[in-house]
Amino acid sequence: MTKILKPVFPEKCIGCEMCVMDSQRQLGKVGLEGAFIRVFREGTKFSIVLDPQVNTLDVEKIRDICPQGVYEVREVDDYELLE
Amino acid sequence: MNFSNRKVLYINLSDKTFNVKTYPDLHAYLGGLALGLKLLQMHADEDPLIFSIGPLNGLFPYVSKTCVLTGSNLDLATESNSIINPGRKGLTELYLGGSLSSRLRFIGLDAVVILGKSKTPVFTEITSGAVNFYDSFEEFSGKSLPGRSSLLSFKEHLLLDDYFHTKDHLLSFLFAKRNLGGLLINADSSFDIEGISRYGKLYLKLFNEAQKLKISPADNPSCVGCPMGCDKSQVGETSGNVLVHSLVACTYAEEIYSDPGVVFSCLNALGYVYTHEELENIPNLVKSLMEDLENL
Repeated sequence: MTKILKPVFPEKCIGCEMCVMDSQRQLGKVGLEGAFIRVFREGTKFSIVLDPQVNTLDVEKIRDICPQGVYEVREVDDYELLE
Repeated sequence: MNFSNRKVLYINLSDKTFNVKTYPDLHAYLGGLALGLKLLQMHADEDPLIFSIGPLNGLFPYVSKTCVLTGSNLDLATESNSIINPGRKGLTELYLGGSLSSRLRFIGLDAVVILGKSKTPVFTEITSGAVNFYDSFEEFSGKSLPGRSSLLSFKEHLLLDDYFHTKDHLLSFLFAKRNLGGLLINADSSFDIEGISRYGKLYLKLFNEAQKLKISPADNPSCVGCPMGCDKSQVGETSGNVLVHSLVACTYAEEIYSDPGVVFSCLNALGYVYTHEELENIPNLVKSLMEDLENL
């Protein structure tokens, strides 16, 4: 089984980018280059784009740092990831 | 990153030129307010518009503001029929939230100094290697890097990220008087921090001190680096604790960042070398700069 990060309530996102920064810290860096999570602004609304590589990180930490409960962590079989 | 130097981008709107200067001798001017005032003093004769950030912007929670300074207080008082910072003659001090300070940090700048005035409306894009000038908003707005940009543009007034603005929309006046139609910052850099584990622990410790903030969580668009989404951040502040505004942290996080011990730890975790005495002297340094500016 593999844990994957899912933005299940993206409409709740407030654009704080805590998730972006946490994922970057887990990679040992700060900044925006090569970030596995991108938060796109469309006016005052936000959308989230995840690079699948984010699932190599501690996704529960990323879920927990989001103040709005945007993310869920799901456990999936490895064959489901391939699909 | 060189933590001693201050990197400043100069943009001249009159002739559409730019250059970057690195100042190794501005170490004492911690950032934000202190650095901005020093730059204002250095360029007092050139009517600069200065955006400056502090060493913790983009790197620690609740440190989410950008200091905006200009020496044209008296003009503004006439134009907007309001007086900002009474008693600080010739100085307007504003703070702006949103994504701006984070993008300045991750483009590697400590400050942007805008000089001159364009003859026609101009839209300016800042990237990590260049400044580009555009004549039309359409051409300019298409340059945004999704997820990495910060955009100041006019709707009815000048807005940052379509939401954040300054008290009485004063930044609108400051842009309009220079014929500056918009400012876009495209940040695309990352950097390593030595001792990332210690930095990460300190980050989370401060993140978990949200109960010390003077605001309540809500679901408004939030400043980058602050999880609160509060109803206060849309309009930036105009004054407050000097150390907090040199960092530049949110004024509602004053209880956390007005403590020199906390600030010392944060700076130390990033590799900055400051003594407690230097941090405690920041208010005196700022006071002295303000007095100098009032006498110019």
